Amino acid sequence: MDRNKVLKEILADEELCKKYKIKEVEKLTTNAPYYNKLVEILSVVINENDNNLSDSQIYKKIKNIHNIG
Amino acid sequence: MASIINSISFKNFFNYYGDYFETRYDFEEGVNIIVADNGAGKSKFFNAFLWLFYDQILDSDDKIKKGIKDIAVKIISDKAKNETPIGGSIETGIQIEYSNGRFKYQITKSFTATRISESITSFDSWQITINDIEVNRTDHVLPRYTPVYDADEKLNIIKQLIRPDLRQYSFFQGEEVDSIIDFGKKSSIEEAVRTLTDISNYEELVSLTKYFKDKAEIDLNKQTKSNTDHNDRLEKAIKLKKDEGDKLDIEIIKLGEFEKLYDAAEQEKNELEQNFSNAEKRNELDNKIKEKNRKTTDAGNEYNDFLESINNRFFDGNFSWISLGFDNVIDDFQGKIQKFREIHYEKKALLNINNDPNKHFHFLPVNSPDSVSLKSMLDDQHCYVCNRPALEGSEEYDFIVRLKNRPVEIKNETEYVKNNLDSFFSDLQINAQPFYNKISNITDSILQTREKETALSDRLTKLKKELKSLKDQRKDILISGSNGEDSLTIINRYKGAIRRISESSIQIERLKENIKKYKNNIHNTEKEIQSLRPSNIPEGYLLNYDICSDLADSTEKAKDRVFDNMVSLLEQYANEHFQSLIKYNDLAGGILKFEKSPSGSILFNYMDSKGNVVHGSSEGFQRMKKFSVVMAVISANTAKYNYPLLADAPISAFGEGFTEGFFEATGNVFPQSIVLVKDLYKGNDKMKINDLGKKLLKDPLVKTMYVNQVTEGVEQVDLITTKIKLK
Repeated sequence: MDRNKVLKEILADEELCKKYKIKEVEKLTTNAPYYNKLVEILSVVINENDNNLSDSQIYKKIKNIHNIG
Repeated sequence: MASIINSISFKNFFNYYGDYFETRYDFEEGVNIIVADNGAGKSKFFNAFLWLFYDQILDSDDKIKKGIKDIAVKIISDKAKNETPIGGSIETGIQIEYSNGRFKYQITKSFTATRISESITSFDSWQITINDIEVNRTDHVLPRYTPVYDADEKLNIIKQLIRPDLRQYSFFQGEEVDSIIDFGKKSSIEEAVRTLTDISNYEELVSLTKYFKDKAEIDLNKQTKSNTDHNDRLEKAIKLKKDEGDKLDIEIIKLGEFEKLYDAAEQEKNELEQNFSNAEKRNELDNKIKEKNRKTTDAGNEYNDFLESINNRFFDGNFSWISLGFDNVIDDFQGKIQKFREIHYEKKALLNINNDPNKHFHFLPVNSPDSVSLKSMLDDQHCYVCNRPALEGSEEYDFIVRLKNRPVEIKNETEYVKNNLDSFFSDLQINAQPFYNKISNITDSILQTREKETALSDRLTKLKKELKSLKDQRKDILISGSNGEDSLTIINRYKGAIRRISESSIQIERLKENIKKYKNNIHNTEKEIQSLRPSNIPEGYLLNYDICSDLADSTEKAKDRVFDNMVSLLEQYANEHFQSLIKYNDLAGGILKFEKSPSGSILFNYMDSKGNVVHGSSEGFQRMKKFSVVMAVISANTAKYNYPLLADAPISAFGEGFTEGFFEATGNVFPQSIVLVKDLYKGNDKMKINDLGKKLLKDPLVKTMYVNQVTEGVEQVDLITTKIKLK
């Protein structure tokens, strides 16, 4: 799977980018560092799903990003 | 880099008798054609690849694919078997060389058969040992093969030739094209899209983000409860949202059910389409046949009546055919009757008479009394001629009696002119008059009659031919699609499927409206919940829910977008390929249309220029449509398609127009194609190919062309396939 391609495809949603102030989607990758929380979470979901982590494992990682674990 | 098959060779494989070097076919990038008549090794050739990829062989006797060991004895060349003594061994195998970028590979699959008894065809007469797969590799710099030992690597090298998930688009026999893209099944196009895109990843992400959204909401609601005092409105709103969510779930389940119903009905409709169209055609043909039968019977009767009436024309005064050739007879008759009359009157007038005329005529004296006077004289017993008494019994009285009875006595007179045929000849003349008046027209009349007879006969023949053609058409339809069902059942089933499609469409629309309504309610309730949430909830929970919620929506949209884009791309390529496939045909090119059904599945239709769906095309045409989609799948592949096309008789049902279009189109789509075809074979030609074959031979797209031949008039044990390389 081309992770970056999937990231860009999902972020092709203009409303989403506007709401979360995401710019220059073309330059984004799923690799850190992340400058936007949504991009970070989406990247974690894409990467870890590709790494075959379970849904609950990925959710824990998301919660950690929000410091609500 | 694309996989290019460099060569294939056989060793005692079916009729390919001999060692690998003797049966080697070399191929190049581009189009490679092997022309072979039936029985000249086409399917056997294709079987070599079945062995390579699947360790199977298609048994031509029962059309079942069988494992190599189960069919080994049948695979070995009969000639080779026959030449092997009892106790001796024989090797049978296939060898394929292909290049892929830097490397060139040689793969050999074989087995050894040891003969243990007399009968060469019996499976018990041979002991089979499957040999290890041999794979050798070389790079182009050092063209010397070195063996590959690792079993997994060997299998990977075979897989690399044509990727297993793309093999169905790249490796098939003619009729298999029909099952690759089965437009009756919702899954056909979707499977193609699935193969070509990473849609399954998007689906996983949709499911994941929805899961995260639900988890985030649960976490947020927990925080809400633990951070706030009792708040009725908030609790109510949360409950309302949950209830609406439950209702939404039920509607979604219902929607799924109706979508299934819709798809099933749609599939049935598609499956019946051909039959329905056939059933309608059958009905239409039945009506035509009935009408044609009636016309043929009428025409037959008219013709027979006409033939019978020809006899009458001989004696019918309107035609007078009997008098044909009697032109001179009339004058002759006129002359003769004239003469007859002259003589007749002459005799009557007693001219030139030789006999005593008194023998023939009785002449009374002048002023003889008439019979009335005579009677009066007898009554009065007095002769007024002599004015003297004539008493009864007297001689005078008796004389008057004789005189009165004179006509009776005349009977005893001799008729001088015998056979007075005047009236007979006159009647003859009168009766013959209408005939001889027509004599001059008889030739024309006969010609006209002959013309009419020919016209009627032609019309009858034409009608009979038309009737036969209609009956043949009907017979063809019966063979191709009725499946034993009568027309009416098919029509009813088809109409039933249409009705179910319509009914489930309405339900789907209604449920979609409901879903929209519930989603809207949930959205509004969510807004209310947000406004009612206490301010002391950690921001992370709020943001987590917000982001997860938005990501769930955006991922869903992305999945739909990727799917739709791929469908559009497939449609675009399918049309491009379809146009090039049919360009040498007389068909008016329509448009292939992929449309989303209410259930979300992809419908495939062929529309004419006015936007009407076209049904009931020929098999060749159907296959072209499917092949267009297969090629579209190849073209729409995001990466360059790197695999060869290996096809056995993919165009056997097509006409020459299709065949020409096929080779041109495949040449432009596949980096390499190896096509086995019999349609170009022409046994009595010096080169053994027909005109189209010769045209293709000159085509720069065609890189190699072989013609397979089998030895004729020999026993099976001497049968071998040889090849002629034309290019």
